[in-house]
Amino acid sequence: MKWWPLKLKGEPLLVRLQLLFGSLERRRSSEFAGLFAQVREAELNLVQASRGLEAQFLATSSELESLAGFGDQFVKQVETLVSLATGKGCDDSVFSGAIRLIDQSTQFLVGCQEQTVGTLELLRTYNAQIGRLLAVETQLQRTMLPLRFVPTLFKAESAPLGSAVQQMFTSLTHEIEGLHAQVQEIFGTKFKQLEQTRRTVAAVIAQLDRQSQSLHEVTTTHKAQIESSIETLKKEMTSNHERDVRLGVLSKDIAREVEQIVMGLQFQDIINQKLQHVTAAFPQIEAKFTEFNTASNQAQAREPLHFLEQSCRLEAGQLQGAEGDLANAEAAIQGGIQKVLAQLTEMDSHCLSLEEFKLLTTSFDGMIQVLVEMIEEVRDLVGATVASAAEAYEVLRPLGGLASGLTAIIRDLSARIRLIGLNAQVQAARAAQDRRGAGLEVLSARTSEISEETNRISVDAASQLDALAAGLAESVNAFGKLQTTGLTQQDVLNQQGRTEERRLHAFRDSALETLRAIGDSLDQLRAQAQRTLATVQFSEFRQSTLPALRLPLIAIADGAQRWVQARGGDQSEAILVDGFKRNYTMASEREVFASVVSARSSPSAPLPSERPVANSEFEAFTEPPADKEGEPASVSEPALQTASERPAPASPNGSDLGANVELF
Amino acid sequence: MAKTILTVDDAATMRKMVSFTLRGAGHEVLEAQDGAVAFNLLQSRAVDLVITDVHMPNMSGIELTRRLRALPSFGRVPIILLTTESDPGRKAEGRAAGATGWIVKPFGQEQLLAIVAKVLPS
Repeated sequence: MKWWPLKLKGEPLLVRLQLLFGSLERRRSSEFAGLFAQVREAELNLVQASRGLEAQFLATSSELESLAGFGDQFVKQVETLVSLATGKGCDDSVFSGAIRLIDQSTQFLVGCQEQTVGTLELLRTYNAQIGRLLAVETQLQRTMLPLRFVPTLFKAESAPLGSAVQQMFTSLTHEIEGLHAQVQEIFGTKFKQLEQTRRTVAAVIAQLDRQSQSLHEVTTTHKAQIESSIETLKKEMTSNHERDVRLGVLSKDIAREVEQIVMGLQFQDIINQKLQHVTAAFPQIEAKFTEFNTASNQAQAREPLHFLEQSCRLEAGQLQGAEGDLANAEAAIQGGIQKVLAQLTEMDSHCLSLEEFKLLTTSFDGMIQVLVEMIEEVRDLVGATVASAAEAYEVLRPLGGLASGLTAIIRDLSARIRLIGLNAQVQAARAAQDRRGAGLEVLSARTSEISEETNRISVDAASQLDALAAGLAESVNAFGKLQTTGLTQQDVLNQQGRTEERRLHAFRDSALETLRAIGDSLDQLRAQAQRTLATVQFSEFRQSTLPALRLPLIAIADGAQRWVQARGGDQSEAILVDGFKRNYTMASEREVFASVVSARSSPSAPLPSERPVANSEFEAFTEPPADKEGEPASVSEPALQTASERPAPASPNGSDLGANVELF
Repeated sequence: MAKTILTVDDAATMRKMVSFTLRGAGHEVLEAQDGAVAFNLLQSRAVDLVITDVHMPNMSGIELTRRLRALPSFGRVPIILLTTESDPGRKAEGRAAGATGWIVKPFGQEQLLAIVAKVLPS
């Protein structure tokens, strides 16, 4: 940076001026000298203050890096937490894994319940069958009742006959008595066992019925709970689009504010270069001041004074532009940081509902606790179902054997009865040969009829028993299968359930840890934002350092203008500072130049730097200034503007990259 | 995909803002405070992109561009001039020196990243 080495003229020069222009001129020259002394001092201060300003900008940019770092960390932590809970970005969510396990087990229990209901129906059918079999006893007793008298009648009828006949009927009598004894035994023991079986099956039915109802209630409740849990999850996390949108919006808001701060910080370089351009003009101004001081008459003094008036006003305008830039940068940086702070407060209070999240997921009544309890409850239920199936299996299994055994006995009985019947028919035929055997013939025929009837009943009972035995075996198998699948489900629940419980607890711990870390990050972020805000202290430079240079320049310009006007000079005289234009490489500087030149012909036109300072809601870049005809299109420097002022225009060669960009 | 980018500026704040923006997008960023330092650095270090200020002590950004374009290894490396200057004459100088593009300060972060994405082969 080149700083103007202002060389003040000493007393001899002032004395010379006094001689030349008389007392008024003496005062004027002295005034100019005093103003130039102020300019010199302000310029020296500017050097020092510029270094300080640069250091402040640098410190702010370092603080901004930390702020952005904390901000990124914070947003990532929150995103991680929400992603973890909702399963976004990974295969599964911690909640949905547990819910699926519970759902799967509940489906199993529903299946058990349905199967039990089916088996219960069968068992009820079997018990009805047993009831019908028990009725067979009465039927058989009634059918066989006449046989009790047959031996006595045989004895009585065969008495008058020969011993051979008597012997034949005695043998038949023994068979009938033996059969009777066997029937009595069957009725006395086996049918009693069948009766016992019916009671046992009835007890199993009652127990399974109770369990089935309880299972139905529990599974219905669980299904409702699971559906509610899934709904809650969907509502509160997965489908809570608003939360994600808010988070996304917030991240974008913070990014936008950081962008504004980044843009604001770049104004240090812009302001610095503007000041260099201003001070680059000072040697020329100094030369004109010397020319004025050495002018031998008023006519000679007029041109340098015109130059001084124009150049000092122009540089004052440029300084005012720099003050405006600094004000805008300060507003952008401070506004940006304050908005970040406000967004943090919003994030804390509404956006993320961290406390709500905590309650929803990790508290005593939160999702994790509910899921863990549900897993335990389902595990108990599956255990109870397995135990019931095992019990039913153990109770029913021997019943099939009993039925099969009974069938064999009844078939044996039936065979014997048929034999007696046949025997009786044979004996009846023999007895018919003897006239005295007519009674025996009738008896034999009747015995044969009873045998056939008994046989028919026995065969029927045996086939019913066969069906019962088969049905019971089927039910026993069903309970065996239920027990096996139940044990498998129990294993799944034991293994996966514990895994899910561990996952849920691990999630709870990490969620709590993340929540704590988020709280810490939020505090750090706030503290960092406050620290960053504290470094933005440009007001002294803007309100004191720059005006200290600008105001004497304006005073010189005003003084020179008054001097010229007092001596009949015309303000619309030629522009003498056109050469300064090449110093101004920025669009805004050229704009100030054009405004100063135009203000000479239209004094009411405001300088660009006198425009209202835009607030901190900056978004778009300015459009390029209108280029002079015939000149190539220039790319304007972007300025901080309100979003509502102008949309971001496209650059002719940078396409949609912005007005300040041109790609070759 | 992360790239190595050299930012050249005599203003430390500007270097910091460029680095901050590019590092945030995952790029590796090297810094140099003027054209001469940058030129020396690039003798021993390959980069994917150079973003340089124009007005700097020792060696300007335009001179740096010119010298780099004279090197065979720099024929295809994009060079972006990032400057406060918007004078068409200076811009034409930059173009003639072989610059890829011209950005007038201040830049927006998203804007700079979009420019980088556009000039760098994926």
